[in-house]
Amino acid sequence: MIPIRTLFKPLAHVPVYPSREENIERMPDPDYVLIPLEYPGQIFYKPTVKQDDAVRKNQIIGRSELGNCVHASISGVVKEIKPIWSSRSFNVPAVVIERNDHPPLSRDELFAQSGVPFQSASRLEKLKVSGAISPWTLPGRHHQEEDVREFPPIRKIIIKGADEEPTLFAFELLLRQEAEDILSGLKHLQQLAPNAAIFLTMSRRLAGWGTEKYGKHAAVVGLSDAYKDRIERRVVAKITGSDIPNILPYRKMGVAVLSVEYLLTMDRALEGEGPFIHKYLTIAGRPLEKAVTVRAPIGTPIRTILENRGIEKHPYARILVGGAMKGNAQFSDQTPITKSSHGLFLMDRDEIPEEINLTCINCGRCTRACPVCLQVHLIGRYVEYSMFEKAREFHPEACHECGLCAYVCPAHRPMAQLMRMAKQYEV
Amino acid sequence: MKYDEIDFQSAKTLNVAGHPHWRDGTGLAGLQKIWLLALSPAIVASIWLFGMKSARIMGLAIAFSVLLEALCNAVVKTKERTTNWHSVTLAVLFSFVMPCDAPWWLVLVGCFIMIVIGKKLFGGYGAYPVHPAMLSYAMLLVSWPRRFDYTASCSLIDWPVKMIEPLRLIKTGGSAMADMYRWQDLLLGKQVGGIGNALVLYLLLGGILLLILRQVPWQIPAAFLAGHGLMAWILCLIDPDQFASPFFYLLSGSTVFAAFFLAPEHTTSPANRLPMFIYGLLGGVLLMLIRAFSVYTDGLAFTILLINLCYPLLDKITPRVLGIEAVRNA
Repeated sequence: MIPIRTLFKPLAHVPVYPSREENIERMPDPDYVLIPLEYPGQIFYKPTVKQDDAVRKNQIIGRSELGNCVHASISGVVKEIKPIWSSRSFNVPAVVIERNDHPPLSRDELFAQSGVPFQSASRLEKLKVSGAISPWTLPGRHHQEEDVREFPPIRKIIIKGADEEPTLFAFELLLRQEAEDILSGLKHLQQLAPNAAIFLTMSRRLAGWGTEKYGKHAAVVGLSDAYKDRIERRVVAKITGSDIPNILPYRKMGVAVLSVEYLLTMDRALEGEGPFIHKYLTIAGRPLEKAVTVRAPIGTPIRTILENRGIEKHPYARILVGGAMKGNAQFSDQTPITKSSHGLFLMDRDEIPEEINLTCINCGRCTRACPVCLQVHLIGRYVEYSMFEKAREFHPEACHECGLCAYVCPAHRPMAQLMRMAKQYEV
Repeated sequence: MKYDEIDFQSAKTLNVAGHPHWRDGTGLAGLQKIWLLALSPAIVASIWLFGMKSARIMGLAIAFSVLLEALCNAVVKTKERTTNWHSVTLAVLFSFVMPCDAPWWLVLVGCFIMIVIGKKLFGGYGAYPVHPAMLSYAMLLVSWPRRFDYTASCSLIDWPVKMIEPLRLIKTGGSAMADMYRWQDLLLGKQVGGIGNALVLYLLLGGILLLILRQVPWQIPAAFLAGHGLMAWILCLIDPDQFASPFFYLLSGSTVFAAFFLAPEHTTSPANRLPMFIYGLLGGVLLMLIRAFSVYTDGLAFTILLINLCYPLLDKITPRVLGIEAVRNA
């Protein structure tokens, strides 16, 4: 029987994870890391190290065609370079480094390695050498690295200070705990793009404090805690006043969307405080009492992070990289965390519905939950019976894959996957 | 742990699936259980008012429905399970419109029409075009009209009210006859009718529970009651001698039953908000028109069947898809 308490809530209301640790803990360096050299569709680094090379923390180990760099997150020896399964794709080349506790590379050594001294490097070069991939080359679905010599004509910059997912808290914690660095990052951003309007989204609870703190440098936008109000493309559409479909990168519309974590990375790069080798991520799920946010070196395997949190055996059935709504389930707990892993979520077997993909009962909850007003129940059934031409008449390409349709579905149908099939079908 | 010692195959038992990983958690069986929970005040009140007669009919209907459903699922390969409680809900809804002296074979024939013809022949839960319980009720009503004479069925019951169906009183005697029923009696279900369809207060309680739990969108019941009241008011203004006040029509017969439990049935009601409102309004108006101008005293079955047939057409009124202009321009 369903707990009565959970019944009294509006449909399509995704609850925020109830408890969380406020401190961000710093994880020690793991015994080995697997640093992926490719973020499919985004960027590809060519390795600059070979097998058995000794590398030091902060050292450049890969460089993309346009000079963006990836760094060793621990000091050690390159064990091998081999294809791995990353959290979102497979056969990604990765550098395996085994730790040997040598001291990290200093700023000047790092910039000496790249050939440009820090003092004479341009801002763009500083960003590239520090591995802060330029945000205007990133978001969007079918994107490639683009050669951006100057700052592109971006009119609106939106900084995400509120986590999209209900189980992630890293952005919000950073917003409060690294306030000074974020302020300095905002100033840098203003210098980089003097003509752009900067918006900073944050939870409505923090908006008063945020306006006081950041109001001079950015327009603070308060968001409610509901997942429905935090879906990134909808937030961007509300702020900019125009919808940007999933198939277009933001920069084509003169908009850049970046997180506070990226802002911090950018600030550190421009101040010369070190490259992007650490990732903030929130770990939540039933084995933990509270959701904890940790700072871990990039490339740390999930297993190591969980062991560090005291989760030894397997009290979980499913590991997600990301949040509970949009995360990717992992087949192995040896998957390393990458620059785009914002969190881990552990699920128990009894949290997973036993029966999935029953027949649609036409209740229409998916359609009423859809943030872009798609006829989800019709599209889902057309795709189920391979009537793709029919399905495309209902504009499935406007879908943001937020997953609210599948969340409310009483028949536990894979609505998000059906929608994706409808989108990817070319007539 | 050293890199050489890792067994990459060690975690093969991990469970994988596509997003989203959180689900609302209701499930089809949970959905039906909530509906039964909402029907339970009316079930209890029915047994309290009619005694074992109503328990007998409900028990027979549930038993026949579940057995027929299990039989169908065994014969035809289907994804649907008997354990999703849908046949139980349908059986309760169907038994509510039965007269209290219905013989067992009438219940059996009704359940056969409902489960085998109305539901499974069309493809099961989610595929039928009209409400199976109402289809079965309509067919029985046309085939054995004498059996569905509620006034005759309740002749042995002794309540302190006029033991004639309230809607029949109005139909035959004009609005003056409305004084024979006090509104308290109508509200508390002390009116001649089926074993459950006229228990206004208890059905209203269950309906409000469904609204609070967001199982039924508010648009359909609200529009249904509004449309019914509005139409009754207009008719009452035109001919006050023949038609009683709108409140009488709202409280008598199966208006509340239709508004909260039959019209908003998942499969046979629209999915969008505006069509749901029009659908409810249409139902309310149609029910009043059938009550006023047809040979049937209570037009429940035909109202629900007719609006069910309208719903695919109404659902063509869809909201604008956000962001679609940008896709076209891209």
